[in-house]
Formats: sequence, C-alpha cells, structure tokens
Amino acid sequence: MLLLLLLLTALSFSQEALTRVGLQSARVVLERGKEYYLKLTGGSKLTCADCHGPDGESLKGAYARMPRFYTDLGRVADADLRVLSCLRQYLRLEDERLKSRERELVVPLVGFVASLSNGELVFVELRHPEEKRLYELGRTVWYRRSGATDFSCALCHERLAGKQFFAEVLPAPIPDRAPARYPAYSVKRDELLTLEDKLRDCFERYLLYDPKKGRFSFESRVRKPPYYVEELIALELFLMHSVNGSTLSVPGVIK
Amino acid sequence: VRLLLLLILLLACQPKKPKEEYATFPQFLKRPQETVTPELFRRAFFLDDEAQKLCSSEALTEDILKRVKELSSNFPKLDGYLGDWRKGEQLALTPELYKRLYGKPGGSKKGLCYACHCADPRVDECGDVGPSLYRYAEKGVKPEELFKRIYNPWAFSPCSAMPRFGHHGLLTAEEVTHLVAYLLSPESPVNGGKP
Repeated sequence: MLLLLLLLTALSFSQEALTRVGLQSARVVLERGKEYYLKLTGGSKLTCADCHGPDGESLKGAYARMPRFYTDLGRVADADLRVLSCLRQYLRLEDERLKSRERELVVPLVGFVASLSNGELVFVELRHPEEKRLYELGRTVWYRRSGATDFSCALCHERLAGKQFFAEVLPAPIPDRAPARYPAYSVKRDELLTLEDKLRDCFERYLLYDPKKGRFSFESRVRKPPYYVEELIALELFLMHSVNGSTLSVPGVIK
Repeated sequence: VRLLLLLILLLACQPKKPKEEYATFPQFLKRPQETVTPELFRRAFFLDDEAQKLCSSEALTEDILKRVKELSSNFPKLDGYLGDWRKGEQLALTPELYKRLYGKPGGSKKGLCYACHCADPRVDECGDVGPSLYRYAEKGVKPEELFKRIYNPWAFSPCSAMPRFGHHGLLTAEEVTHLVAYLLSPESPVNGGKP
C-alpha cells in the first residue's frame, strides 16, 4: 500500500517536488552534522562548538573561501580535509574510531559547516604561493586527458558541454555555477556528496591505466584517487575559484 | 490530496535516525576501502603517453595536431578487416539496449558506441557527440580505413573526443574488425538490414 502511494506520488509530482524531498533528506544529514558539531569528542574532550561557538557563528563565511591554505596544516585544504584535521588534531579522535567511519563523520560536518555560509558569495583567493600552485595544478588536472578513454574533465564539461551522451545532456558545471551548490544530495544514491566526493567519482570514467602493468586492464585499473590527495583539492580550488562571486546555496540536489 | 501524498512521501523517506551514542561506533565498513596510494594514482593519471599530453593543451595548435597525427600511425597488419557484424553489434550495444531490442541478454560495455553516435534506427537513446552512423556503408569508406578510424581515431582526427580503442586495448584488433562489419555490412541494421 505504501509502495503504491509512493509510486502515485512519484508519478504525480514534478522535479520540483523531488527536489523538495531531496532537500528534506539532505537537511537530516546536516542536522546530524550539527549534532556531531555539538557533541562529538575525542581524547581532548573538546567539541567543535568549544572552539567555534555553539551556533558556529565564527564559521560563517568560512566555507565560501575554501579550499585555502591553512598555517596549522601547512597545506591547502578543502572543507573535507579541514574538518578531518580538526577531528584528528583538536578533538583528538582516535585513529581506531576514525578508520572505518571517517567519511560518515566528515561529510555531515562539512554539510553543516557549508550551510553556515549559505547566501555568502564564493570568494576563493590565490594569495599564498601554495594556493597559486594548486590553482595551476587544478587547471592542469581539468584539461589533462587521461586513461583508456582519453577523457578530460574539460573535454566533456567544456568542449562538448550541451551535447547528448546516451540520453543525457553533458552538463557545463562552470557556467552553471554547480560547485556553489555542493555539498549536494544525490537522490539516486540517497546520500550527501561533498564536492570532493563528487569529483573523486568522476575519475572512474577515465578508465585509468594500471600503473604497475603500464597498460590498461579492466580488472586492476585505478578507479578513484585517494581522498584528500593534492590533485583532487587542486581541482576543487580551480573550480571554486572559477565560480567566485556565485551565491553559495547548499545543500544542492543532484540526480 | 497532493500535499497529503507529499507528506507521506516525506515521512517515508526520512533516513534512519543516527545513533545517539558517540563514544563507541559500530564496527562496520560501508564499502571496501580503496587502497590506491597517491603515488599510484599520480602515475595512472599523468600517463606517460606523448599524444595524450599534447592533446591536454588548452590551445590545440596546428603543430600539436600534426605531431599527434604522426604519433598515431602504428596499426596492426591484418589479412582482412571485415569481421562478423553480429559480434560487432554485441560490442556496440550496451546490455540495456540489447535487451530492449532483442528481449534477451547480450551486448557489452566495451564499445559504448551509442554514447556518442546514433546508428541503428531502432536505438533512440543515442548521443550526438559524434556524427550519426546510420547507413554508414553508403559513405564508401574502405574496411581498412574504417578499421584504423576505430583502432586509433587520432590518426585522422587528432585529439578528437573519440577514445583510441585499439591503441589502449579497450578493444582487440579482432573486435575492431567486428565493428567494421557492423558499420559496413548490408545485413547490419545500421544499413537498414533486418536482423
């Protein structure tokens, strides 16, 4: 009966309704992020709120400037790496606890922190030499053709954007200002994806070579880059900088 | 009524409440952790392939295109370039498309031709990145040339969006000959044949 109702509902509602449903689910993840923000503690007995205030007031606008160079980390970090580093360095969450649930803690927290910047304009600066270097690296990654498909981000999402690929239209994320809507809720996967999650998934399409064999192999190909790898953060920096001035609006909803 | 239905849907779609407990975590892995190191990823992504590096340039100059063409001139010598169009069809159609056309399992994800091209008029989920290949046989392209165009498209159209299927080993030389037949055989549905 419930299934039938669901089916009827799905049929009778537009994309707009789906978006509302998606937003609702995404907000639950953000609420969980807020709970972690207030309650999660590790060896230092500190919570995020102890340093950033109970309502996260001091973090307002922070997400709109990420990725950026952090002195305490000595490297450029995106929101994901920033949050993870806080959990490690300041909350002192034990490695054992982080190991299996790292993304399950990081993603809702990133979602919550990002939502504190809603309505702010994306403003990623290239001031520190590392930020400049990573911007150039990100640009290189965007245009680099690779893998057994000879794809690049730019090939499908710039040069061929608007063309049809099977039954889908290839999106143009920079003109569409899509990065300003991440973290976004994927209706199909029923989970919140940070920009890093989303970009990381894209690499699977390249059909990357197996570097040990020096050739392509379906079985032993490299599927995705490791989380927080410099190239991934560089690509985020390049994209966020490309949409500077866009209004941040999270969580977005994607299919 | 719609509002009521939406409400029900909203309630039904609420994700499970997260555990209220923060001191201990359930020991489970959501999905297997991928173990590729940054070093391995880098070697895979920044592939040592001169043509690929040249085509990564933001401005594709005449010099680049000329050099890529030169780099794309190695082809296997075969006795014949016309394979079996039915095997070609199996490579060209995805399992979903095959099932839709024939109502039985078949097809593969090796060619993915319809991602970018239309060809068999019964397939309407086809891309327009590349030209339509419907009635390709009428173009008068020789089997050997078509073989080369699929094996390594950059020999003709350097830095094009089409993957170098043979060059990378996505398809074997034999498999490419089957696709040649799929596009050239008069019995193939691509050329109006009735399978």
